[in-house]
Amino acid sequence: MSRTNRRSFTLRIGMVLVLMLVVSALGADFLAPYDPYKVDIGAVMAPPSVAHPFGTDYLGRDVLSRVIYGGRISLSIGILAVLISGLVGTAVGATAGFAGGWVDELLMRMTDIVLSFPTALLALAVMAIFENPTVGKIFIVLGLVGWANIARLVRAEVMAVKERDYITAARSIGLGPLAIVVRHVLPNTLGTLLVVLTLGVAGNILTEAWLSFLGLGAQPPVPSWGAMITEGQFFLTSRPWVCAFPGFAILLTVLGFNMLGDGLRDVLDPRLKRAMP
Amino acid sequence: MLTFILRRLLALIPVVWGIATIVFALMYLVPGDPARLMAGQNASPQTIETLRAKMGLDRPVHERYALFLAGLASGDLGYSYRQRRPVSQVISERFPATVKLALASILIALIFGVSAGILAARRHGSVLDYGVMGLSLLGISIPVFWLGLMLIVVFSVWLGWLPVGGYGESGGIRHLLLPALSLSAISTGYFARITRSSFLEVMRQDYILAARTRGIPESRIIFRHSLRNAAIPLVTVIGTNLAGLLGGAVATETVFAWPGIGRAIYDAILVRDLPVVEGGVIFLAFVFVVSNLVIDLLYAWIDPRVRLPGYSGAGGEL
Repeated sequence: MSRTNRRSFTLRIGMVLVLMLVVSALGADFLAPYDPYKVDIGAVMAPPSVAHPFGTDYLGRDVLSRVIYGGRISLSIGILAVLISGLVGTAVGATAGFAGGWVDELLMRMTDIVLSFPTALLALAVMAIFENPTVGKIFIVLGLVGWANIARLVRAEVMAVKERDYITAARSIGLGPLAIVVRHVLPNTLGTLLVVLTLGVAGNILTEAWLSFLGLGAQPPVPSWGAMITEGQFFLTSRPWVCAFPGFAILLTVLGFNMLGDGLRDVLDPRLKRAMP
Repeated sequence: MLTFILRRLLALIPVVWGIATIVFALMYLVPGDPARLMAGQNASPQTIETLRAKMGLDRPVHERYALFLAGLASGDLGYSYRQRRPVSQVISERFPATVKLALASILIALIFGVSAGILAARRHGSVLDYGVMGLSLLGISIPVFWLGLMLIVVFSVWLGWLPVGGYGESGGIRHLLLPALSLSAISTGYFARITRSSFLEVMRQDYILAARTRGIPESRIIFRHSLRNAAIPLVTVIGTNLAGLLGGAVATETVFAWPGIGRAIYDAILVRDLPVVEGGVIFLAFVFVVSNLVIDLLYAWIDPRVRLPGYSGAGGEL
């Protein structure tokens, strides 16, 4: 395989994995063989079979159907959180870049501080405080702790183009900072931003699974992959499949987004390779 | 070097202060009365009032904030409702187990990650290279707590080689192996990737070519001429990886019943013993920033360019 082949190979596998996840999440109502919440006392802890390809859990619920529906939760949290991070990061970065002076200094100090946080632990600290942690809270919390590297990226781009003639021209015809950011700054960073956001989805999905596993995310009976592993944990020694399949689903999904991000980076911006191994 | 160390130490203060402030703000906003929680179900209103006064809960916010910061500065992380003792005591009791687990994981990750990275770089473009890259991608994509559970199924349940969890008498190698192995997965993946790419970079340099033309043996080129320069980016990655490691430890310690800070945090989550959760997180965050400071200093020692005030290429961050 030549180098370019390998690049598109990573990209292609990533795309296939992500596409599979998106299709199964969107089409869950048609694809899942059972209702993910339906308790069947007659088929508790059934091993994988033709009727239940992934077996059933301690309430007789079909693990395959729950894994399929779980994709909706992981995917929506991963993407929504990244969108929030993107918005906050762009706002902070663009403000800092355009304002300059003490505003820039203050915002960038703040960004540095957030960048040196262990953000997953911060998310844990926040989620632990809520009386009843839910899926909806997770994506907001994850979104709000993950904006710092995007802010840096956008600021750097603003600084780079700020003094160019076409920006001066855009200003002279009365374009405001928001319009300049949307029309002239974001398109320039789109490639890098896309890579960062895609890898961010992978990170968010892992963090969500981790939080839900610790009981600080989606609560039973919601079919979140992390929470399914928590429930299956108690029967690990005799019925490992209840834990195994949701974990495989997390692994494949995160792998998919990581490969997509890697592949996009190689194609869009090879310079990044050194900055983000 | 001294001004560099001082500058880095000063930069530490806002970070720790920032974490503490966020945690305080959240604790303040949370509904519920810590005094009532601590006094228990049957406490009389008077008892709760006294307790509130004792805990300083009846004071205005800014005073509580000042007290909280002053407490932190003197190592006071709060008081556990459930265990009825200072959080700092819980943490100092659990800290050695967490350090042991984290160090073992880093060691495993360094051994496997660096050697896999070197191998892949040496056989650049070969099947081995793709295998290493694929495995390292798997490593950074795997949920570590799930990997831990699967390792338990294989090595403890099916093969019966290792205990399913616990600390044993002193947290010996038999108990340490599986948790450390599963926790190291992510770091191993990152280390392999960074070692490979920085090695490839270094091997392209002119001085390596010069060494080759002088007929210096390949092994000497790798270990004497390349490794030190290739290690520079690796050192930073060890620092950033610590965040994942400490976070992962919370879940891994839970899975393996490993009596570290992570397990203490999880147990506290279950019974809603918030001071232990928040104190534990503040402490782990503190460990993270301090270790990164140490790594920065190490970095400046390996690569003197970093010590210059204007140099900004060190972080490798985007």
